[in-house]
Amino acid sequence: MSQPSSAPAASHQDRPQVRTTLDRVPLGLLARVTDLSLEGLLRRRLLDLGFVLGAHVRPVRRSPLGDPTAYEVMGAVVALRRTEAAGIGVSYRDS
Amino acid sequence: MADPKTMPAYLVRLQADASGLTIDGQDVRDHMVGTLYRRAEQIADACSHAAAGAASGATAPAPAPAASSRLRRKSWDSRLDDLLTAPLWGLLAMLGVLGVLFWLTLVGANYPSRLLGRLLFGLGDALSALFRAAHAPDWLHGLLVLGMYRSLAWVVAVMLPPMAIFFPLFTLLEDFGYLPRVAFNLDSLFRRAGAHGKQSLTMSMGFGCNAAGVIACRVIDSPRERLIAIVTNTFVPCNGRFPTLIALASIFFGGMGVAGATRGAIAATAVVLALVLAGIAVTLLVSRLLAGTVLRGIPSVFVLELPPYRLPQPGRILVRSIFDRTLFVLTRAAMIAAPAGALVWIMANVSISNTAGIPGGAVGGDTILSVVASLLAPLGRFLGMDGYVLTGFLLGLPANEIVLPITLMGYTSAGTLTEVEGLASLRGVLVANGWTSLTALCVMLFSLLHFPCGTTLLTIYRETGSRKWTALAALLPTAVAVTVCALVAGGARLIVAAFP
Repeated sequence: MSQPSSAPAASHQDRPQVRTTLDRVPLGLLARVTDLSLEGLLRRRLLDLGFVLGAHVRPVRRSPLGDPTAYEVMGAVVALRRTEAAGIGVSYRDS
Repeated sequence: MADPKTMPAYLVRLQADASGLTIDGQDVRDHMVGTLYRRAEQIADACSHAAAGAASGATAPAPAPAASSRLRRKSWDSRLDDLLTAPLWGLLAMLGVLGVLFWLTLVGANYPSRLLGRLLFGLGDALSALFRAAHAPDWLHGLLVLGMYRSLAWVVAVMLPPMAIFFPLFTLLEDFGYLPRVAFNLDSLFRRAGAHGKQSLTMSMGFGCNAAGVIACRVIDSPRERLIAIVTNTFVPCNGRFPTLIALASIFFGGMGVAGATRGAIAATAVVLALVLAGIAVTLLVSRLLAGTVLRGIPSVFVLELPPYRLPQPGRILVRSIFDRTLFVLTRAAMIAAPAGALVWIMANVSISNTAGIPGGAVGGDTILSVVASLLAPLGRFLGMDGYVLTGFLLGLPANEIVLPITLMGYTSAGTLTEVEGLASLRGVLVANGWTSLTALCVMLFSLLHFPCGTTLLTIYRETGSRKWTALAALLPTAVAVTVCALVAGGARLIVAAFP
């Protein structure tokens, strides 16, 4: 649960901050949830899974056929389709 | 809101307080979940720091050992995931896993099946001797031993070994955590078909039992996509149909399962695998069709957890697969097979012209079964099969397991069901009744694509609460099966006519 608060953040402090949506974060980079533009049931489901404001999310792998992408969030791995991930605003430091 | 004049004073006060707040429901929920997660993180941090402090004896916050061991385990997990969800290897691994599953079932079930058949039919002979010794009337002996007992024995001998192998293996995969990866790999196909990615989970369940698969469709939230998954679940061959597919594939495409014939077993496995893939392709096509016509709508959300892999627990797997699945399905099949066997025996032994008394042994000719079969014969031939097989499919509505036994009883009617203890003798009966590889192929395709069994239909009715959808779930697959079989049989006839 505590992995986001450990070392890497400090060394990347000087890198430019990119604001985008979760579906555009490159695999392996750590992003932070800044806003959720989703409504209703999906919003609740994503919140319950840990996509809360300020949460750290990392895209870890893509499906062989390209679409759902698995994200590491709050110590769990959750797969989202591109359309859903596009509703999650994030910021990450470019490497 | 109610009229303030009729409300108690404390409610008026509350309402006034509430109107001063500007937050809406969504904000409250977001705030609650956010706080929960922050608090949980604080507690987890405190715990791991405390643990680290206790372990090292230092007070400074050191990196938690719990976290590092979690990282190690995660790398093992994620390396396996890298392989199982890799662009090409992931899909090949899926096929490989499925193929190995079928191969083990097919090869492993052959010998115990024969042994069990010999045992049970031997017991049947002993029962017959007992009836004769007691001077029981012929019809009673026929009804109880030749009808009920023999179909029961057939179902047990043919179904128990493959189920006892397939279900534990499948449960092993399930327990290991592989199934969500399959859904992850295939979601894109389902999305393009207008269906839900979790449909591959309900399909996997359908391999065990379509009724279970239909119930599993509850995991799909959107009613539209749930209906698609329910209606198309029957295109996945369940365990009641696997033995039929495996037996026919071994006999007609795998050199009839002669012991030691590895190449034959591989060929038969390939045929079964191809059938399953055809079933998946039909599922996607029919889903697309439904999503484009009666079940139109926007795709719903897809959120799938990929839990960490777990080392399977053999004990739990055995208990769950043997008791919850194998015995459950077998009991159901047996409960249906016995009365159905009696019914078929009556149909095979009562002749239409002589309904006054039940004869001990109507000799072929115009028994009810042969009359029904000859009525269905033209349609059966059109579909590349014959009247007896089609009768078997219709009478087998309560349970797919008994389609082949009924067909056999029809062939060997008048109560002289040959003792079909191995695949070799089964082949003998079928070939003697004009079966070719084409017949076998059409029967397998029809079995793969036709209407779901009675239990599944009942389950569909219970799950959807609609006669209309239940009817569609029966008619649509039947239409697909009829079309495919007619095309295959017609195509084969054309080829034969063109190249005599």
